[in-house]
Amino acid sequence: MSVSTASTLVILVMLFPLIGAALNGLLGPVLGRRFVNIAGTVSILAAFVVSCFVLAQVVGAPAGHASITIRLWDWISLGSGTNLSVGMDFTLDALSALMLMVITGVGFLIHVYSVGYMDHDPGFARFFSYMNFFIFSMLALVLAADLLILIIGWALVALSSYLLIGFWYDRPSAVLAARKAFIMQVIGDVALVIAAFLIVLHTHTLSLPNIFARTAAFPAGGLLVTGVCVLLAIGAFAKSAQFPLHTWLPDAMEGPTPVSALIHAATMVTAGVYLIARFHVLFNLAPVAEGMVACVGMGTAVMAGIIALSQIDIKRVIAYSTMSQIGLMIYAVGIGAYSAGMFHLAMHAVFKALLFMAAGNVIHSLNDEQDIRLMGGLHSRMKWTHLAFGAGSLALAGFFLFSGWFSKEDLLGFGTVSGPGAAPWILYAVGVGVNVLTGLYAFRLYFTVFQGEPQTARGFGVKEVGKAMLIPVVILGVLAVVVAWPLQFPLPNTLHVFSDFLNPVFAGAQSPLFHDPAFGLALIGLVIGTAASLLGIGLAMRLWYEHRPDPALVVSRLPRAIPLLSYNKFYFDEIYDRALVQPLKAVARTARKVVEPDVMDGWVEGLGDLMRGFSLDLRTVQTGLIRDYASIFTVFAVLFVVVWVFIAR
Amino acid sequence: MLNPNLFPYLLGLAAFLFTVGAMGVLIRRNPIVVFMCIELMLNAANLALVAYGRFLNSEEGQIFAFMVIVVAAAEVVVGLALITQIFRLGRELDVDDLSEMKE
Repeated sequence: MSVSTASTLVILVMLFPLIGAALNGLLGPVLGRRFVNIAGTVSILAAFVVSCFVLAQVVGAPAGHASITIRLWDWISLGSGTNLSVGMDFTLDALSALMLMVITGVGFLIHVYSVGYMDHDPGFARFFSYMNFFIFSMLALVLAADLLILIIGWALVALSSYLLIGFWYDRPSAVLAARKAFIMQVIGDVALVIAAFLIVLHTHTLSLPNIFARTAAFPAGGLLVTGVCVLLAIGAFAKSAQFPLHTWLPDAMEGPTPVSALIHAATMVTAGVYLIARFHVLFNLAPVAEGMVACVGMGTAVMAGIIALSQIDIKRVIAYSTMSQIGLMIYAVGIGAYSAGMFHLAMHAVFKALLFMAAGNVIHSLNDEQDIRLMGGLHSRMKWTHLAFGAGSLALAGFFLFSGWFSKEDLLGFGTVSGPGAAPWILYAVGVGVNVLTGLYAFRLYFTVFQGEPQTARGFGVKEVGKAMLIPVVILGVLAVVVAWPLQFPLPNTLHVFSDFLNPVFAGAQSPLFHDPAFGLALIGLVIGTAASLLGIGLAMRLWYEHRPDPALVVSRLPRAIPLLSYNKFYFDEIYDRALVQPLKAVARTARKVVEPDVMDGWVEGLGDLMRGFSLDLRTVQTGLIRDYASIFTVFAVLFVVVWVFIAR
Repeated sequence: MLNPNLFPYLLGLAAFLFTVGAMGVLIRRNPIVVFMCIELMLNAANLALVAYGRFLNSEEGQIFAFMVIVVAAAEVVVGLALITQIFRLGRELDVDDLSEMKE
């Protein structure tokens, strides 16, 4: 791949969505719905076509030349040599090509879906403008070959997310959710920026290839590289809704459903996984940070899975499922199974976008009903949506030969992780538990929504949605079944197209925690994982389809704390409210009542009073009597002479 | 040739006259007397200038003295004109009474 080809591709792929955003935002309200529908989707389709060219270039490149970094123009140049120089640098390699395909491919289908979903919304032009802008920001984020560009993309996706969560700005809950998401993501941004400062301090560069080439500045396992990696991980956690910065994701469901599908399931929230995979060179030098990342990922996966079991809002269930699945990806990149983590990212983007859009169909057909207790029996009334949702659920649960199965069973790493004591095995066991949980919550949702009988009168008259919303869902439904077949098989020495494609990016830096599994171990792991998934699905079937035993009965037998914790999301919102929000509000109130009037006004007005008194005193000098003036004049003339003659000399 | 020993006495006399003039300006309220005192101060300065000029063998002292005399003459003209104008307005001739400018 030549530099000029790469430059052209990079410029084109980012330019199309940007032009789409500008056209929709500026001309959309004037030119009307038809124009916006076309401009909004065609711009992403064009970006997708360019992405296919990128993929072809990367695949077709000779071994060892699949990665190219180009500089479009110099941006900041501070001196020469080792001094800081920032350019518009972008990288085309297997990792960014994969992300391009996911973002533009799934993004295009979601844009088509949005045409139907936003059919009656007056803000259609604004919506498509924001969506196209999000695609642009996300592309900048994954293509960036400079940490500064990456951080800009990182912040721009947060901005797009904010704009789209708060899209219906006349709903107070949406505005609050948007603010919450933005603030929590900014916490991650700050961590990322501090990491960038540390990196530039020790390597004198922000260019990613240079950073990875100058790892000599980071002693392996040292405090510095561990700190940098922990800061990067905090940035990733905030973006990917991982503990303890996860509470914004469920609230982000206030946005329109296509937004949830695109930003809060398929692309933006997986940027954290991408970040850690991109910085694998540094993470491999910091096993402590890797272990921390793996533990946080697995912990979030379990926690979100437990919460998803008891939520009653269809979109929130899927949001917690997203959080849980991203937890698994974070765990995978934490232990160093980068290509497995990225594979799950890609598969998850397909089936989770599918689940969200199918849920959007259900919500749309039921006139914005989101409570799953009021649904049920939709399988015969919404056949296509039902089939697609079923395929997505099977893929999510990791059912045999569905796409999730290929990616998830690869990722838990049975017997391939080394670490202190029993920690890898505990994490593995928890991962198997997450598999069971995934089957449980995925099929609780499926059975409650689509099987059984309609719970409301409205449920009997439900009609299938229109073509614009159905076709993307069906396409993704087919993909959720077959997309993994030609790519990867979760056993060594079998089909490995995907990891062979991606591994050159991660070659040359082996994680100290991870080694490739032997065939036997991988087979045992595969059997255990598959059995766990089937167990989860089977349990869900017993509980929510056959009602033997009834779920309520099971819950009543559990210790009371578990359902309470699950239903109340482990009380994180309440804890943050008590621990952070209320104290901050108290401080603000104190400042308002004490500091402001007494201290701030005190010194400002005190200064004023002082000057006023001083000038009152000074004014008495001005008597209007010539003799007084003359006296003052004389006194000071004498003083001047005395000082001049006797002191200054 | 003047005795050089007289120099301090001449300066002392000039300082004495200047002080008397200054005191007069500060203490007296009659504008005409104030004027006379100002003339006294100017002349004291003249005396000092001339004495310096003489003892330093320089003409500049005398030249400055003439300058001061001319300025003093002009000043007297303006000043006395002001005083007569104030008198014509029917005002009392008292410096302290002329204090409207403070507002």
